Amino acid sequence: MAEILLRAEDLEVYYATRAGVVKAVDRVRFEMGRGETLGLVGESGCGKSTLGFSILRLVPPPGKIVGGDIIFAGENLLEKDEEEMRKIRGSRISMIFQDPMTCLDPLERIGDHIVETITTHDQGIKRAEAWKRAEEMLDRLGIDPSRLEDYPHQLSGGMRQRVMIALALILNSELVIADEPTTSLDVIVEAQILDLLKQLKEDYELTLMLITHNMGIVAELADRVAVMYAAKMVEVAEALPLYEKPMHPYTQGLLRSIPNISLTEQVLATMPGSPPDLIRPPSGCRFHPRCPYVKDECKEIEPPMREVEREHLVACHLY
Amino acid sequence: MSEKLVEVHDLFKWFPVQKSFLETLLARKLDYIRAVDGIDFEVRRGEVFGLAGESGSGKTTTGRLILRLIEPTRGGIFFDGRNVLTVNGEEMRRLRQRMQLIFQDPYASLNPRMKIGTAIGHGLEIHGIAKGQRERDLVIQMMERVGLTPAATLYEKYPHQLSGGQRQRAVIARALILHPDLIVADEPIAMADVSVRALILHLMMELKEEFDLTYLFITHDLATAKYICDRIAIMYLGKIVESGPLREVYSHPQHPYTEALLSAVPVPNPRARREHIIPKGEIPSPINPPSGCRFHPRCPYAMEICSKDEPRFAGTKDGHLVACHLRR
Amino acid sequence: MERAEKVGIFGRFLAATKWYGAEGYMTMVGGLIVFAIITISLLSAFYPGMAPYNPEKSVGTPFSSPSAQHLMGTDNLGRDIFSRIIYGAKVVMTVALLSFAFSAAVGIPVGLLSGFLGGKIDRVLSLIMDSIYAFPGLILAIAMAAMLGPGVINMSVAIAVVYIPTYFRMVRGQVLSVKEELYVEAARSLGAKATTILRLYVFPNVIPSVVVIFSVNIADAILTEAGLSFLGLGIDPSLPDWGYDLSRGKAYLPGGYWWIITFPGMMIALVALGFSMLGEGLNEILNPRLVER
Repeated sequence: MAEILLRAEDLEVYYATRAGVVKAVDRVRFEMGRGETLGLVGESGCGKSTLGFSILRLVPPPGKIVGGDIIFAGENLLEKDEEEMRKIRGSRISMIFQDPMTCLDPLERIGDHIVETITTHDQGIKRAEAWKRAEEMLDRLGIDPSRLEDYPHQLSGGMRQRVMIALALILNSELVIADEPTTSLDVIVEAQILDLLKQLKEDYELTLMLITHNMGIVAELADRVAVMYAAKMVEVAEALPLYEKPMHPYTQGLLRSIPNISLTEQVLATMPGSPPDLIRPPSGCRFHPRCPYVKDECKEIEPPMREVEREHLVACHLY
Repeated sequence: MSEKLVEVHDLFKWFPVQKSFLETLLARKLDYIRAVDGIDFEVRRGEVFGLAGESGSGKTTTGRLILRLIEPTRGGIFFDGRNVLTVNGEEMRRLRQRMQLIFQDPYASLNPRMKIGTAIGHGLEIHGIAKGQRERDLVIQMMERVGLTPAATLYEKYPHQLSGGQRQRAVIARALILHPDLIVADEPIAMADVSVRALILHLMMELKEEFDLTYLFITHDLATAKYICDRIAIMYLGKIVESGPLREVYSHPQHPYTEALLSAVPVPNPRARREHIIPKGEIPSPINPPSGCRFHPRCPYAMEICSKDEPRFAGTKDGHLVACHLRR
Repeated sequence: MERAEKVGIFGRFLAATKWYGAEGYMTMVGGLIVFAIITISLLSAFYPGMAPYNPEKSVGTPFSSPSAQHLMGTDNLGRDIFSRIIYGAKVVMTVALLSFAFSAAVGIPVGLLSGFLGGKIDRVLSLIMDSIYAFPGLILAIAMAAMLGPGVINMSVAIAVVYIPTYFRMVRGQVLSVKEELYVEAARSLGAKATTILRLYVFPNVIPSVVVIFSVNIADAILTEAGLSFLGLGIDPSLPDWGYDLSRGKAYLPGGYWWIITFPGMMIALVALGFSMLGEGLNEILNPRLVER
C-alpha cells in the first residue's frame, strides 16, 4: 500500500442520549492509503457516518469523541483546536453529504458559495480569479459554467450533488469523505455521478472515503472495503477478495441478501434478527445472536481483528 | 373471476399547479403536472407485476389511482371486471377490502396513537368481519404468520416502539388480514435496512403463495424487480415506454430508456464493472413534457419523427410491448 | 381510553420526571403548584373552616403587617389577607377551569369539523373565528363581561369567548396537516368511513397539541380574571378575589403597606407560572422529541 494518509486507532465516539449512552463507534481502527478509495459500508446505525463525521470533528451533540486517535498526514486531528480544524475542513479534508439541499445556502448563488469557499482559505486571491476557478471546475464536472449564477433550487438533484463535489475539490483536498453521495439520486443520475467520481479519481489522484450501505456502488468505485457492524469494524479487505471471498459471516450474509441484476438465477439469503441496540450491545461478538456459526466463545469474548490472508482482516472467532 | 385482475385504459392524472394569486391573475392558462399521461396495462391474477421508473415517472400515482385513493382525470380502471370508477359508497368500501396497499414508509403509514394490534385488526372491524376477541385472535394469528413475535407482547405496542422491519411486517399484516385479491406494494423495502430487505421479500413471496395474492410492485430498484417480478412495465414521465415478461425486457430491452436504466444499475461485484449508458440531459419537468416522444431530447438514437409524433405502444412478440419509433 | 393506556401515560409521566432532566423537574414543580392550588380550592369549598379567619369579616387591626397571628397581614378593613388568599383560590380556579371548559368545548369540535370538511364551511368558520381573534383579548373580555354582568359563570363565559378562536385555529391547523398524513391515507385504503377516520385517526393525533394551549390558556385566563376583577367587572366585590384585592392594594402601596398588594399578586403569578410549567412538561411528554441515534 502507498503512503498512509489517514489512520484511526481505538476510536470511540459516544452519544449521550436520554435513554443511555449510545456507543456509535466503539474502538475502531483502520487506515487509508494516499490515492485509494475506501468503501466504508454497513447498515444504518452501524456507525459509519459517525466515523466519517468524527474525522472532521463534526460529530453533532450529544455525540462526542471520547477516545482514540485520528492521524492525518502524520498529525493527530484530535489534538488540534477548533481554529486549526477550521483551516483543515474544506481545504485539506472535505466532505460530500447525502442531501445537497441541506448544505447549500438557498439564498446564496452557487458561484458565490464556491467563491466564498475559495477566499476563506486563500485570503490573497482576487474575486474575479476565484470566480474563474469556479467556472473551470464546473466545466470539468460537466455543468455549464453559466449555472454559477443560479440558486440551489434552480438546479436538479444531480447537478446539486455535482456542485457539492466541486466544493470538495476546489481546494484540492487531500481527502474527500463522501457520505451516501448518491442515495437520494435517481438511478441514471447515480450512474452519472459514479462515472464522474471514477474520472476524478484518476485526474486528481483522489483519496476518497465512500460511506454507504449500497454494496453496488462500492463495487464500482472502491479499491478497498471496510465493513462495520454495530459500531465495530468486522472485516477489511481489497474489493475483489471481499466480494468473492467474504470471511465474516455478516459480510457473507449481507452480500448474499442483495439482489444482483447481473445474475440470471439468484436465491436471496436472509439474516435472522436485526441490528442490535447500541446502548446495550450483545456481549462478546456483537453479531453472535444472528450468526449461523456461533460458538460459546463468541458470546463471551470479543474477537480481535486479525489478518487472516494477505491484506484481508477479519474480526471473527472462526479464524 | 377473470384472468385479468386489473385493467387500466387510457389513464390520465393531471394535478393543477398551485399558483399564487398574482400568478393566476397574470397567467393565461392553468399549468398541470401531468403525472400520469395516458397509460394502458393489465395485471393478471396470480402474478407479480412490476411498475418501474425514476422520480416523476408516475408510478406511485398510478398505484394510488388503481386503489382509487385519488380520482383520475380521465380513463378507465377495472378491477376483476368491475368498473372501479362507477362504484360508490358501501360498494366501494367492500371493493376496498379486495385491494390493499403496502406503503413505502411503514412508520408514516401507521397511526402513532393506535396500538399495533388494533391497527392491524382495524380493517376487520370496518368490514364487519370480526371484532372483540375474535378480531384479536385473527390479529395474533396473522402477526405470528408474518413473524411479528412474540405476538401478544407486540400487540400492545405503539409504532415508535417497534423496529423498522417490524413496522413493515405490521403494515403487511394489516393489508393481508383482509384476504385481498390484489396488493399494491409501493417501494415496500426501500426504507428497510439492507439485511432486513431479503426477509421482507421472502415473506411477501411466501404469503403470495399461501394467500393466492396478486402484486403490483412499484419500485425504482430494477435489481429487486428482477428478483420478484414476473412481468414489468417501465415508466418515464407519465407514460409506459416498455412492458412485457421481465426476463424478456431485461435481456432484450427495446426502448433506449430501458437500455440506459438497466445499464445504470450498480452491481455488487467488482468484476462486473460495466459501461453505463447515460442519456444526455436530465428528466424534464412533468409540467411541460417534450413534444412527440418524451424521451427524444435525451435519446442517443433520436430521429426527426421522434420530436413530432408520439410513438404508439405496440407489441413485438410474446406480449413484449414498446413505444418507440425505432422499432416500427 | 383503555386502562392499560392510562397507566401508560402515567408511567410515562413518572418516567418523564425522572429521565427528562430539566423538563421533568419543571413538570413536577408545575404539577405540584397546580395540585396544591386545586387542593386548596376544593378544600376551602368543602371545609370553610380551613382558613384561620372569615375572609369577609374584619378580624384584626387594619393595616397590620405580616405576623404570627396574621401570616400575610390584614387589609384596610382588617380582614385577614391569608384567609382571603385561600378563599380567593376557589374563585380563581373555578373561573379559569370553567372558561377553559367552555372554550375547549366550542373551539375544538368546530376546529375539527372545519379542518376536516374544508370548503365553504371552513372558510366561513375561519372568517368568524379570525374576526374574534382580531380583538385584543382583554378588551374583548371586558366588553363581554360588561355585557353579561357580574358573576362567576358570566366571567367564565366572557373569558372563554376570547380563547375559542385559539383552540379553533390550533385544532384546525393540526387537522389540516394530519389529514395529509400517510396513516390517514392508509385508513382510507382500509375502507374506513370519514367519521371513523375523524374519531380514531385524526382526533387522537390532534389532541396532544391542545395540551399546549390548555396550560397557556389557563394561565392567561387567571390573569384575565384578575384583570377583570381589578377593573371591578368581575364578581361581587365582597367576595374574596385576588384580582380585586390587587386593585385595592394599589392605593395603599405609597403608604408603605406592601403586603396588601404583594400577596395576591404573588399568588396570581405563581399559579399562572405553575400551569405554564405543567403545560410545557406535558407537551414534552406527549410530543417527545426524537431520541438521538
